[in-house]
Amino acid sequence: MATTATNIPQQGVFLEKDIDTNDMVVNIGPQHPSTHGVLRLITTLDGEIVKNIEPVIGYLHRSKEKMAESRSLYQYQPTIDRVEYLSSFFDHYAFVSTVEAIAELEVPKRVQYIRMITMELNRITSHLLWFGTFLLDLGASSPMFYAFREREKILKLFEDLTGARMMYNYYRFGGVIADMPEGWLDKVRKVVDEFPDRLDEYEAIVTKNPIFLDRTIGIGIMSAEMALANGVTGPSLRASGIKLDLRKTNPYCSYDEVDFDVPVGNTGDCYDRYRVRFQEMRESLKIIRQAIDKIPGGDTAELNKRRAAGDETANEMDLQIYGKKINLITYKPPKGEGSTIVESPRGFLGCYIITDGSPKAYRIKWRGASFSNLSVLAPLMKGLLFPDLMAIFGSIDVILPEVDR
Amino acid sequence: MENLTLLNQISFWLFAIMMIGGALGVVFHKSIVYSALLLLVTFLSIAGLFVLLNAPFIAAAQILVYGVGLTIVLIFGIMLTGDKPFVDPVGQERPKRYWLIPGVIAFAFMGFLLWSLLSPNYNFTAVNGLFLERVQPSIAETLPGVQAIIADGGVTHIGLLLFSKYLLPFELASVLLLLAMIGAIILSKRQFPEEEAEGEPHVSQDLDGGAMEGKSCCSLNEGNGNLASENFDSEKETLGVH
Amino acid sequence: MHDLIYRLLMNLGLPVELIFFIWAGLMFVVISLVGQVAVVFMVLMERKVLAWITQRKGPNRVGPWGLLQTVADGVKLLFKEDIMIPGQDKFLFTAAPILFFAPTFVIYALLPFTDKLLGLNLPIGLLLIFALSSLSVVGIVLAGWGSNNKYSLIGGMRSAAQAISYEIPLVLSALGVALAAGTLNLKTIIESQNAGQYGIFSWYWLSILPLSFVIFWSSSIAEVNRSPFDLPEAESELVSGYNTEYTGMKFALFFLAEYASLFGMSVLMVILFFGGYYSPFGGLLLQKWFHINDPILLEFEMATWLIIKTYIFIALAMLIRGTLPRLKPDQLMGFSWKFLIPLSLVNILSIAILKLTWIGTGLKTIQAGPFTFVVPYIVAYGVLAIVLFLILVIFGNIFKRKVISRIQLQQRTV
Repeated sequence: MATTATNIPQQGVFLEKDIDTNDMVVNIGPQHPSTHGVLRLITTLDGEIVKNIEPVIGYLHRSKEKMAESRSLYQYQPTIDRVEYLSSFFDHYAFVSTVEAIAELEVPKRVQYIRMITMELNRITSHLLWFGTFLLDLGASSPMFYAFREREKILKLFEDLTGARMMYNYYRFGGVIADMPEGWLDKVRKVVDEFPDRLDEYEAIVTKNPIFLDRTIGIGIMSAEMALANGVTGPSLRASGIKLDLRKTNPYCSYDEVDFDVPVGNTGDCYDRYRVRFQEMRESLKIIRQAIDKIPGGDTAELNKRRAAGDETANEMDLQIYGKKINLITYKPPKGEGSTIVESPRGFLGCYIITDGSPKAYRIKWRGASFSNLSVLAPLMKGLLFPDLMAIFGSIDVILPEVDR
Repeated sequence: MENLTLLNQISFWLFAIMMIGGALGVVFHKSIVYSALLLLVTFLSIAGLFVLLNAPFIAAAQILVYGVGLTIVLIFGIMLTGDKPFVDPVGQERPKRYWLIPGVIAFAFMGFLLWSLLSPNYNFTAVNGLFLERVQPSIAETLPGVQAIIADGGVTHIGLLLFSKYLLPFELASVLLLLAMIGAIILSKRQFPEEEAEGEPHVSQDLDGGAMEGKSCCSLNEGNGNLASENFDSEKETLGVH
Repeated sequence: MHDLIYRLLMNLGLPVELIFFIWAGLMFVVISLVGQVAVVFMVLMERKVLAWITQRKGPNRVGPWGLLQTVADGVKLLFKEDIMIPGQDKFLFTAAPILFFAPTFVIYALLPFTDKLLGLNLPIGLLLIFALSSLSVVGIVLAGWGSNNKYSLIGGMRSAAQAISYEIPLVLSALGVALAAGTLNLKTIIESQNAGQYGIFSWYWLSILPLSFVIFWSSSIAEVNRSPFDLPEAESELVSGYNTEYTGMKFALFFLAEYASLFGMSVLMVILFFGGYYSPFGGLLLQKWFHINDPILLEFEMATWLIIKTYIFIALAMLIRGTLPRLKPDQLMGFSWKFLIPLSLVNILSIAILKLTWIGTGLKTIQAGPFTFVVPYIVAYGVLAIVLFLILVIFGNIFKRKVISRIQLQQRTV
């Protein structure tokens, strides 16, 4: 609308005073189609231009950290799924591996590979959902359905494995709750094999779309300094040109045994963030494919056959699904503290646990990637147009349960 | 249609009353949005009068031009007056005596119009009772070429006149509009700070491995990362952007 | 039929004025019924098409194949509570849907669906249609303002800006048709496309005005607020834009009118560029191939051709909606002012050249035939290409994203 009163240097010879216009304060959310949950953005608009933006969080606070103080670790574990419900294998991994580090539990190789496969599959589902909602934020409705179609296949795999489609609760201290169902790896392989075609399909309808390019290239440029200063991690950080991936720099699980690349962007705009995530899906597929080939013991059916035949080598440590038989219900980790950081689909997911020798944790602290990633929204948005808000907010992939915990 | 003179008359009075009522409303209504809406009523009535005068082309042009114009008036109304309730945009403390000058001018103009209407030169002989008869319809419509003009809505005739006899006023009007447009652009142009330097925001070089403590170090643009970013560049180029 | 009803009314001994009103009313009811039925099926069609695009089934519960879904939705909307929130301007809030709805349906009275099914055969029909479609924007702006909702207000403002910007290329490209046909009368435009009985080869989109057609198509999609130009109701930013606060029948009026205007625009496009109610083989098939001259059958054939062609364009609009992301306001404006308007001006110029030089018939209709388009293409579009090239050279690359560097810079200073 008209001209702005502020932030324009006075140089008019025609106008002694600029036309007085009022900024409009729009309260976006907590309930809004594109806030991906319950985020409230107090936005100051000058016409269509965003002058200021103030995120208000806390609408989804469920005191996940406080809850841990009143129940045993084993009782607490099912609630972890809700910290970040789109990729809860990562939360579980952070939690379980912290306890394992404190208790110095050994994790069999087979379990590590199962964890790796599930986590990478979960990364793909998370990125797929991000892809759908991001395009929905940009106004394209169909990609959402396509993404959900593929996600559905992977969720079916999870259902076969864990019995749940979203809240898996599959990992245990020093192992997983049960071995893979027979033939599960083949199903995974099938999904993984047909997946690149689907990705190419998405690229064909989205990545080369001129409107999409117009709306993402050069929008919301996050410089590397800005990203680091705000604690941005994950694909958003890598899109800014910093090659920081915990799976590479600090390999946990068995990530050092598989070969994959870390996609890096160079501008840090919405397009780069989009491309980085897309490439990451392909890299995840690569990891899964290698992990399926390398997993000790191979498919469960094969392993069972060997065991039935009395093959002693089939019972060795690396082929078990538990490192050490422990009674989970009464499990008391030794006194100590430890922490783990995992490369979740949104960035560093940290879990810090202090134990005091009782079944409960003395204190659990979660470090959600979305929380720090969200902090970059306000500086990124200044001076852009209102619809860019949705593009940028979608592209940094924030999930609100993780912000509020 | 020859028997529809009564209908014509009813329509004329309807449109006339709507037009004058709407115009009065434009002036006297407090809210600018309502004023704009009443302006729409006025313009539509004028268009109706043009239709009655066998000039549908001008009527349609009237609606087209003022329909869009009205939207702009509405926007101005919303922009200039801001939040509701809409107050009188001129302000409440308007001194009363300023009514005087425009009032006098308006009445003088009206007097002039009345005088010229009632002067004997003007052929206005058809005031006959309550309803207005059309001035010598038979003669007007039997003039050579008039029927043809009516048949295509006057488009051809008006077009020819605009580009021959009235070319200069037409072009002047368009220049005026152009000036208005340029003026609007100049007035509403936003000032942006001068561009400092071209180039993409780049990865800063002074970040070293020690920036992140302990667990992880960030390796900048080495090995694979470099490759990946180059790939990105080439992709963008092939897509025809950048 | 005309005569029958007219005589019937005359025999009732009614005054002529009254008969005129009744006749006009009857005509309007018939024609708006055409529109209503079209809209009801368009809504279903849109849902089905979008479902097919996204590999779903779409509505399939109410009635066979979901045919009664829209009717059920309409009944639901009828019984919904009409919610008014405090602070709304009651009069404007109520008037806005009416102001939006009425002009879109009046347009139907001007469209020749067949030779006879035509409310008003005005010599300036084309112009009046644009006039009426520009009026409906007032309704949207008023809805935005009267709703007492900031999303609605932004939606209304966007809609106004969009309508004003896209009205210009729309009218300019239709002006090309008017120039070629030498008239603003829609029926004459159709007839002049069928003059040589060459069928599809003499339709304007192929024979004379391909560029006009492209411009008209893109701006008509913008004019009826459809994706990717559906900024006034961008659901990802503005929740539902100007109709956020509307419920019940008021919302239904907006909804109906949007589809009605899409239908109207598609019919208009068929009339202007695709030979209206004539078959793609020139003339009417019943007449030409089967030598049937029954007027009622011929009417049916005309209506069939028009409806088929119209629904092809409606289906294309739905495909576009299922495929493309939404534009941003500045891109939307840029596309119109920097691309479509210069292009349509150049287009008009080239048509004028074509008319004066090659055809040489002055103000008469251009008779399009199967081979008229070869030389005029070379002449007119050669000029067009040169002018376009000059524009590009002078004003720089329009595809260069200048906005981006500006925004980038602004960010850095923040």
